[in-house]
Amino acid sequence: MKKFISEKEYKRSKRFNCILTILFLVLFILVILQVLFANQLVEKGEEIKILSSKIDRIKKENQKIKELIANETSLDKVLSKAKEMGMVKLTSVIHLSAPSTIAFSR
Amino acid sequence: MSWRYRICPLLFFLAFFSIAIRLFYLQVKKQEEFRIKADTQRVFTQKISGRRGEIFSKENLPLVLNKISYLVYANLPEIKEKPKVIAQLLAKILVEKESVTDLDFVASISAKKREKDPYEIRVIEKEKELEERLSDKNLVWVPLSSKVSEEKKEEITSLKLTGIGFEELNDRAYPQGSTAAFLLGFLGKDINGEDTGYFGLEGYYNEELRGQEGEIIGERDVFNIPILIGRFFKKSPRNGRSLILNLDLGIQKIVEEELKAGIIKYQASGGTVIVLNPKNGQVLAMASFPVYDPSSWQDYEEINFKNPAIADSFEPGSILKPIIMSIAINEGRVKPTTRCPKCSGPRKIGGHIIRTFDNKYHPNLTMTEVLEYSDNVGMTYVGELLDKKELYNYLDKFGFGKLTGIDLQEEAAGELRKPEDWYEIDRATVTFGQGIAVTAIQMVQAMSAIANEGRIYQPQVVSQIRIKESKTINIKPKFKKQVLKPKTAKVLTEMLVSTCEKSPLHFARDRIPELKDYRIAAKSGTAQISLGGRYIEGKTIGSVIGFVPADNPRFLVLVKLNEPQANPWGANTAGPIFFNIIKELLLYYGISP
Repeated sequence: MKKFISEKEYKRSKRFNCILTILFLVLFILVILQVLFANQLVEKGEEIKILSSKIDRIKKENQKIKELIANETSLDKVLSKAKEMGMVKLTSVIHLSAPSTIAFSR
Repeated sequence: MSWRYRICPLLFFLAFFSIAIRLFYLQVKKQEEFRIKADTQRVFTQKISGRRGEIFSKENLPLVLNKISYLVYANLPEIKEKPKVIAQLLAKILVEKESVTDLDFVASISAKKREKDPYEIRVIEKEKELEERLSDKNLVWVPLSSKVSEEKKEEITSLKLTGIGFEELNDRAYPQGSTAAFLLGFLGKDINGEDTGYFGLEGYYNEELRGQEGEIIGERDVFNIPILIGRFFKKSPRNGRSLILNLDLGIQKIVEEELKAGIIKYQASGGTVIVLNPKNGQVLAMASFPVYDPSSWQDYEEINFKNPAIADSFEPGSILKPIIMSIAINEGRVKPTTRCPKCSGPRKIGGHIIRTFDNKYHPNLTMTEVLEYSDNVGMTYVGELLDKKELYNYLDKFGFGKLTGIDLQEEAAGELRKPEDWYEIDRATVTFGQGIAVTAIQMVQAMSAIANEGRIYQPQVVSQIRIKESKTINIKPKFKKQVLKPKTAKVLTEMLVSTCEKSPLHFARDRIPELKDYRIAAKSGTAQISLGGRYIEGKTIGSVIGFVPADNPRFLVLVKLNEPQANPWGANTAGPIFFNIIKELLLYYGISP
């Protein structure tokens, strides 16, 4: 035997179904977004790994350059370059004493 | 048909129930076990080492820098080639072409014997060593060579040998070579395999220089890529603190060149020079030879690592006389013009005969002349005017018999026996620098009292500790004590100026015309070397100590030469080195007379 419901009840149940459908849709979209976001993060994770390696490599290169600069500017190197350029070592200094005042002008 | 309606739901229920039981077992009962397995696969911990602090000279020039080197190892189960083949290939790359004998002779003489062999012999020995290690069936992992440079690592990598790997090591670079090697020390490993500084500044300031490790704990996937939405924890490393020294690299170079030249010229077995600012105790230069190369310290015998300037004690001889004289003058027992009534000939004290160094005697010497002639007999007269305990207390105040507190590892205290243990002869001999053992740094500290109005400052190598680029801590000069009255210091200065002009030292000084207008306070000494309670015939330590300009000292210099074969006397060997250094320092600073 078919059951008959009132128009009011029908509208209420239709509204309830609508809300439920929207909720499911939202949930579904959120799940999809989360999956997309997680995928992007995986790519970022890979980028981070590449960047970390790059940073390490650059730090090592910087250290090597620092060492190279220190070696090239060491006192021994500077002395030998100076010698090559014809510079000579200072062997004596002439000291001049300041002249003493003889007379002041008025 | 109706039985199917009953059986099917039952079957579905049973299947569902079995799965639920299994899931319960895996996710609840075995939760911990699988979590640990998953963590092991997924969670990684990466240590980030804090960089060790570096060391710079006064002019901010780098003396010690960080560098990366590698440990080459072999994973034996993965090795495919024959050990002999690998050993031959690696030995040619790992052995340095330059032998230590190619270095300066003063470095090579302390090197281990095998490092002096020619390249070919060293390659053969290295091949044997590597082959032995690679053939060891009892091991899985063997180290082959450490401190391998980036270039050699690339050469080895290009050989494409399976089972050969590299581990990064923290290492040190020395842009100035072996300059100030004894001051710097070196970086080694402790028993736990941790980087640790030994000797010199690396040892003394190890805690300051050492950085603190950081770590990253995170999750990664099967391709080793970090999972950013997973667990993540980071503890940042702390870099070690850097040191800026009082050491003037220009002065250090001058000192090393002159000392090396002097050792060669006078055929000495070694020598030490210290340059100090007597007004604040700052160590401007410190050099000793023979020296080792700190970048390859493993190639040297351990005995060579101690800094002779702070660790070797010796009988000072006549350079102690000004100190003894200053004590007597400070106590008012003598004046510079007091005459010695006992200086006309040798003296017998406690059953021993005390003579002058040249067996020449000058009656009625003034105290200034006692120093000028370096008269041992005159000094015994001075010593008799002082009580044993008085003399001891003063020597103690001057810093003998105890550590100066200089900021270098492995300082020795020398020896100063208690006055209760002194016989009469001991009181006599200590007045001319025998029967007491001092270190070079103690001598310099004591003499600085005469140069600095009676005040002593603690010798100090480090001037600043740099925490970050923008933040440094200054190490203030540490005043120790007022040992002499300022007037006494002034009087002794004049006596030493006269000594420098009239004693045999003046021969060395007169050879340098540029010094003629400068007032230099100095005293030379020649001490015998004792071994097993006896003095060794023909072996001496020649030394000179002094400061300039006498009226406003900028630096105090000690030169000590061990066993000079060309001439035993300090004035003739250490003397010329001393005045050459003084001349260069006066030019360097542009100090007018």
